[in-house]
Amino acid sequence: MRRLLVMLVTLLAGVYFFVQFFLPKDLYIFGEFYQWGRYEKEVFDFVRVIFVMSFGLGIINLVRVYGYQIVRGRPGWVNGAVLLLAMVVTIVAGMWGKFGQSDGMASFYDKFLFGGLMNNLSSAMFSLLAFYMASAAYRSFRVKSFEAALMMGAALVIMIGQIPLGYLVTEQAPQARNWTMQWISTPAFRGIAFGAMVAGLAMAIRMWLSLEKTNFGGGK
Amino acid sequence: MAGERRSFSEWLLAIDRRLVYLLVLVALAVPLLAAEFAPYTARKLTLPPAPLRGARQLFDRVERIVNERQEAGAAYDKIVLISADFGPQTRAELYPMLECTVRHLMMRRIKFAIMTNVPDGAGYCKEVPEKLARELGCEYGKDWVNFGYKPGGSFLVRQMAAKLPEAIKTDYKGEKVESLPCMTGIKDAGNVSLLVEITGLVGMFGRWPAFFSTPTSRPDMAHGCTSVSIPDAYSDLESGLICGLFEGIAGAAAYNDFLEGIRDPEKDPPASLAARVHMTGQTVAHVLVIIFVALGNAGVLLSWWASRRRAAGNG
Repeated sequence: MRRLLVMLVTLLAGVYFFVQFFLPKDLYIFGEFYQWGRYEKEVFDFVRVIFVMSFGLGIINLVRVYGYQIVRGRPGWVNGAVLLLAMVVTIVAGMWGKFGQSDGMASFYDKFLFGGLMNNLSSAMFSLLAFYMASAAYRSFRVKSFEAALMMGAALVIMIGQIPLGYLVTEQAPQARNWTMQWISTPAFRGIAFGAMVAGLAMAIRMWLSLEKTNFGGGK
Repeated sequence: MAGERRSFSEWLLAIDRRLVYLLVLVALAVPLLAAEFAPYTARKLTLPPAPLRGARQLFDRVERIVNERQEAGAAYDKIVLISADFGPQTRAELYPMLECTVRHLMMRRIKFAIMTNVPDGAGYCKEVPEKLARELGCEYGKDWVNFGYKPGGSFLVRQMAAKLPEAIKTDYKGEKVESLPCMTGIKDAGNVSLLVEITGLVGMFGRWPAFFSTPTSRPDMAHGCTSVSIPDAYSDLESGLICGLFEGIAGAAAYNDFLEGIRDPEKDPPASLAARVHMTGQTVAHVLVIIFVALGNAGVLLSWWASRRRAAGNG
């Protein structure tokens, strides 16, 4: 029954949005004006409410997974406890600052939790990429075949053309980079994007018609 | 084997990764530290950006809004919409883009709305315009409005296209957006002259051209992206889908240079140094990568040559 309900809702929602996208705003049928999108606001608000509910679902999931880990004292429970504590402190500070009209708490949330902690921790995590990329470029861009030489050549042209030093050495560097982007990278990217879009469309149709079993929580 | 002496080509082929990491750290940290502790010297040492046409096109489009507003006179009822969909992860590249866009709009007193579709971006939507408003004398509600974080993805965009104030409802403070002077006459996507999406997330920009239009008009759109997603965004620029593009941090640095050209030294403070500093650090790191790639390939060549010589000697 649950499966059937999910299939039915998915199908009807798909039909609604599909038709709504293609039909004109006002439909003139047998001397009367009809509007397919008459309840668009309500429908879209409903979708946004569902979207926001996913946050609640996320919180419940985190509490269940890490709460279980902490209660059972499983390996890594300290990390789980820190995660839950950080979540609770952030939620409480954010809500207190907003709904409790507390400037001190709002400042604690904005300046310390977001600006001081999250900003720097996330930036530090991402900055590690710079080190990995430099190391990976050194190890992988080796001319061992024709294809590897092509890839390395293209990468060097783009890199030199993008940086100011390339322009200072020769004014041709940005032009070479633009040419490579325009005539080699862009057509290749469009080809990839076109393929991905066709695949996406096929996947969307499968999900719309509930042929994709993962919608129901696995391939069983 | 331990203690065995390595040949030069072997050393070139297997440089210790800790040395690579150390040099990257120095390359990136020195410009940042210089900007923090010796800004005057840093300003002198930063490199000028390469001419990137995407940033120039965006700058020119914003300048055209000034002309459009003059031609329309009092009947002008359009705003610029900025969607700052990025978090701390891509802050280094995208924050300067947001800063120079907002600075340009405030310098020209072009009304704008700013919003984000990612929770992490809400802080920047508040911080950047408030900071620049203090420098340039702009007023919240009159010159700009902050919609804050709005969830809903493509559905929200579709809803905004048809009825913008109804879809947004309230600003970040909880005030009705319709009551703000900046939003007077703003009904739908037709009242948006330019949309600027600044994001490092793949697929984030795509929903604007897909859904943000009315049956009769579609706003001009521009994109600010991280360096790694330039090839994807470049395709949109080439096809005319977007009217401007920040090509990574270099795009933001170039944009700041254009702003310097229209700045009134008596009235407007100079643009932030961040874009140029970050770009200089990135440049030094790129040069370092090029050097390492060259060293690695020199190692390949030398070892190939040595093996040929050995083979010839044995033969």
